[in-house]
Amino acid sequence: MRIKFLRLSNIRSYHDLSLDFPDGAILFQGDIGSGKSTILMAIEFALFGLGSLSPDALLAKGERRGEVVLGFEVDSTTYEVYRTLTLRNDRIVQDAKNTFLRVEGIQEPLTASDLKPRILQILNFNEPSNPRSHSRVYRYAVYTPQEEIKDILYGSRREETIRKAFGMEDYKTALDNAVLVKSKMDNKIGILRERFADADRKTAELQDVTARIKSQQSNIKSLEEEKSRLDSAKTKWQDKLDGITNRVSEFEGLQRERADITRLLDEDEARVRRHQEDIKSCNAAIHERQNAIKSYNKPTQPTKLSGEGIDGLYRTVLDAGRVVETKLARWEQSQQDVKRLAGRLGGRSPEQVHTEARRLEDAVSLGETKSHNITKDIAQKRETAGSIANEIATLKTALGRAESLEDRCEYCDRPLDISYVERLVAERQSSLAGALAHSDAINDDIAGLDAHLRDVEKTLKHDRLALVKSTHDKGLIDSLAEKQSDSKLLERELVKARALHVLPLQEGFEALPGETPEKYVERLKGVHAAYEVDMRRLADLHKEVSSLKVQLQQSSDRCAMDVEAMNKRKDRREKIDLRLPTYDTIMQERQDATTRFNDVSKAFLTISGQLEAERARRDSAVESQERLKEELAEAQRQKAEHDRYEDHREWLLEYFVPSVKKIEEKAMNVVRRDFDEFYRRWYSILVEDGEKTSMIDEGFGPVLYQNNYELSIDHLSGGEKTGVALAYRLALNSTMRRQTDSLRSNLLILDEPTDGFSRDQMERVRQVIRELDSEQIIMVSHERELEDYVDHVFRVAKTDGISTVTTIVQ
Amino acid sequence: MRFAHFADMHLGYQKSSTLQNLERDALCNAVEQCIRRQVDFVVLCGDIFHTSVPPMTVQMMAIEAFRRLHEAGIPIYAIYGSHDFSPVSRSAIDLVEAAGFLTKAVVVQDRDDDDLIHLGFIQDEKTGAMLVGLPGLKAGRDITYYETLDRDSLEATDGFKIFMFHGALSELTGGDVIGESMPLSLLPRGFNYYAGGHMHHFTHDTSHEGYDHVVYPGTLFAGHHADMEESARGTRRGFVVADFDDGGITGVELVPVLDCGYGMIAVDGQNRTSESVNTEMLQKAARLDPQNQIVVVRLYGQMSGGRTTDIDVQAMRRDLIERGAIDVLVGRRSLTSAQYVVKGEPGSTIHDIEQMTFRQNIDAVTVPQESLRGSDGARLASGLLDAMRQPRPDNEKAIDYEERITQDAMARLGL
Repeated sequence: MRIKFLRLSNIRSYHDLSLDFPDGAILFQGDIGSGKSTILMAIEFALFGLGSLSPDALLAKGERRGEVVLGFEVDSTTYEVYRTLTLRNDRIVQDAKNTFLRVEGIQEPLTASDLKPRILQILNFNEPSNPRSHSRVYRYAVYTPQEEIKDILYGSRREETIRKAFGMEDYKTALDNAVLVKSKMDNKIGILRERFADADRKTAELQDVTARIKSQQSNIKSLEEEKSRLDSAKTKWQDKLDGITNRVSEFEGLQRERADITRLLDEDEARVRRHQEDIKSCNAAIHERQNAIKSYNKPTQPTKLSGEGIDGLYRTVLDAGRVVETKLARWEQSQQDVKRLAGRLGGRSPEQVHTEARRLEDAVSLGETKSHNITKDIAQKRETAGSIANEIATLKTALGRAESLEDRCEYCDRPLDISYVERLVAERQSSLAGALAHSDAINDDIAGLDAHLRDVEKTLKHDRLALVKSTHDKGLIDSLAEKQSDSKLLERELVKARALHVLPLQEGFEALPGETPEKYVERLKGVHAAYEVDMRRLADLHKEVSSLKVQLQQSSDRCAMDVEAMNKRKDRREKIDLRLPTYDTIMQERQDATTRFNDVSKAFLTISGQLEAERARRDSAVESQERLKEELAEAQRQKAEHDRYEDHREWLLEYFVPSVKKIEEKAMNVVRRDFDEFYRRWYSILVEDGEKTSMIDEGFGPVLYQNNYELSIDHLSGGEKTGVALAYRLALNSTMRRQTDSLRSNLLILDEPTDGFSRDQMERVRQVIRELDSEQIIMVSHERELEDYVDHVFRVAKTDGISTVTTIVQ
Repeated sequence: MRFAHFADMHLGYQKSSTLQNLERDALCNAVEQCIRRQVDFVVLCGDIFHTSVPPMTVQMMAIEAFRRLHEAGIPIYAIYGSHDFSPVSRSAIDLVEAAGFLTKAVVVQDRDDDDLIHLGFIQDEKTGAMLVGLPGLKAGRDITYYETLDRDSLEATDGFKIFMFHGALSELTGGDVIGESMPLSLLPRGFNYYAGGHMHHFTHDTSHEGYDHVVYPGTLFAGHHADMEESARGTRRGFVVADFDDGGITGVELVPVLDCGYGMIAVDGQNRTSESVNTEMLQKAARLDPQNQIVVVRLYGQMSGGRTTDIDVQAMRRDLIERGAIDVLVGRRSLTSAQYVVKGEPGSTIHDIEQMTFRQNIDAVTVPQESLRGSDGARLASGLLDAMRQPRPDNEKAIDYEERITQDAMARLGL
């Protein structure tokens, strides 16, 4: 790591600083309090954040915003860190937005909290990233603030930090993880062991099964031989039995045939008998029919008309008769109607009826006019009576008021003359009496009119009823005239109908006297029907005769055939009867053969069953054998896998783990040894005192000896203490650089490295710088003397509270 | 007449405050005893300071002590040792000399006629004793001084003569040479007293002809942790007081300066586990009465397993201090653990180690599966490790992670 530049804005006593860092040894020289340490503080802040620093201590007093930009280079890659402090709500905080890292000019997308871990990664500092503290490795190996030198000399967490810095904790992690891996292996080994645990048992089982299969095979062979023997015996007896069975079938067939023949012969005989009877009855029937035919003379036909023609004739006659009846009935009805209507008019002429009607119409009209006028008068009188009643009421009130008046006017309360009052009462009483008399007269008029009206109404009602009756009589006169006309018309129609209803005479079929057309046709119909019946009967008899003759022929033929067949059957029966005795012993033979065959078959079945059972057992055993073989093969595989795991487990436990432990011990020892050597070298350069020696103990602590007896660091002079601390830091830096794989920092920052040094010791710093051979060394000191030992000098000065840096030697 | 002989004080050696206090106590006690015993002068034979320029506190402590002697009228004659001499910078001894509390006993008289080193005597005013010394140098380079020393002129001088030096003598180490040493014969003969420094334990040798009294006082308290170890084993510590008259040395005595005791805990960890070593150490500590004692703990040997840091010396130290120990010194530099001994070339990466370990161990695999053996097996292991070392990402459920990893692993194994 090399610092390339640093830019400060409002950081502590710096207002604005931009500083390029060259390679080589750089000295910031200035008086105490001039702002030298701020530069170192700012570098650390840029790299690792605030850590334990207070932001108040960094931001310049009275400023709201401060910024640190640090450019550095690691392995030829350039980095720029930006960190900003802002005053927010009276608190100074890191401005996360303006805190970032640029790598080769490209900003990395990091949060402010990721920045420190990233820097540790870049620098390859092997330590946990705790935001509350600085990088401990940086503090030990690169930069130790002067006031923390003590921590190096007495540091309690020194060993832990160094162990971490050199990756020693990794071995512990690896060993812990090895335990996990071992336990995983144990697990797997246990599982695998289970899988071949019963291999021995299975091997024994396999041997058993194999032996069993062998004996089963031999059993099967002998059973197969026996079965084959029995099979041929069975076939032999089967063949024999088949022969016997054929013969039995023949025998039984003959027996059945003979029985059938006997039965058929019986049937044949019966049939022949039936045929002979049939022939006899046929001849009798033919004779009977021929006699019947002879009994019929030739029948006579009454008309040429067919049956249908006679029916049509009959329907015509019936229709004509019905027309006559209808006309007659209608005519008789009209005669009765005329007679009834004439009766109802009571012998009055039409003129008389019309005159009476006109008179009644006039009387009704007069009566109605009268009734209307009287009603009108009554209404007028009632209206007048109402007016008078109102007047009477008014007068009664006025009289009452006049009678109630005392001596004062009811309106003006003026005193009244009593005579005036009396006059007023009298006047009003007189008016009232007149009005009452008028009212009585009117009411009498009304009563008279009412009585008159009732008389008029009564007469009117009577006349109206009479008028209605008269009007009805006028209708009856019209109806009678109509009925008389109808009757004449109906009479003419009746005559016409009667002319159509006559006898339809047929040639050769005379009518009987007084016979109606209907009766005539009915009789014709009967005679025709009898003729038809006779003709059909005769045809039937002829037909029956010819049919009986055919039947007779058939019966004769069949009878002949049956007789012939009977003769054939008899021949056959005789032949059978000759053959039957040859089968006398066949049933016994069959029984014997069957018994023998059954015995052999039973034995065969038994053997077959035994054979199948044995084969099934053998097959099952073979299956078991195959399965066991497979299982054993699988167990072998599992065992191989198990052994492989065991090997790895052994390797892990017996080789890897002890090796790592050894490595841990060795590595730490080598680091410590290197560290010790570096330390002693730097110590011998920085502290020249023959009797004082110093070394690094196993806990990475510096120990001092005076003539081999321990010497407390407290008993050292200030310069010596500084020397020890510096030697320690230089040793750590050198050791880390030797283990360069894990630490790339080759920067060294020395804060007042010569504090308390004598002039002699100061001179040694030159040698230190030379021997360090570091790419970049940054020193801060108030000693001007150091200026001669370095490549570049920056002078730090403070004026009016503002620090400035001037380049003295470039 | 009487003089005191100090060496190897190694002021500033101790780093812990308790031991620094003891260092100070030892010095102060020695100074007080010199005054009380009314010695006429004091000789300091090198390694007064542990370093040429010790911390200011140490310099102050020394100056106070030496001023006290000076004020008591007791002169101090000193030479550099190997620790407090610096060829490039001045030594703290120069500072004490500059303050007037000490006289360096080395007077080199250059002559142009030869390459020899010519030394001049210093005479103590009060007693008339003649002193001459050669400084110790770092890494035993002082041997070349002795080889080129003009011994004849020194031997020829009369009077009560003391020869101050800083270095080991072969004859006295009994062949048990630690570092550089030189033969006694390089020293000029006939001196009354050979005041030595550098050897940290008291030695008074009178067995060599021509060298009547060769004396090393040893360190006052401790100039090295091994000194405390030795003290714990029973070595006495202090400074030497020698009496003399005109006829020469009449008595040599080691004067103890501290009354602190020492406790010792030693555990051999060879082929034992760290737990067992820890147990033994704690048991031994429990049996000890550490009251007013400096307890020295020595752990050594290569353990069969565990870490040296498993041994809880801090707990033991706390317990002993609580029970009254002055301080507890722990030496376990030579304790190692076989488990952490690394063979092979440095610089190999972790990746290399993984590959190598898998390859080395694969030969032991005897399963019949071909794929699990040989280079195939090693490659498989490597792949499997890569698969199984993946840590669980924060956003993955444990059960999913485990299933994924084991599935992957089984797949890689072909299961």
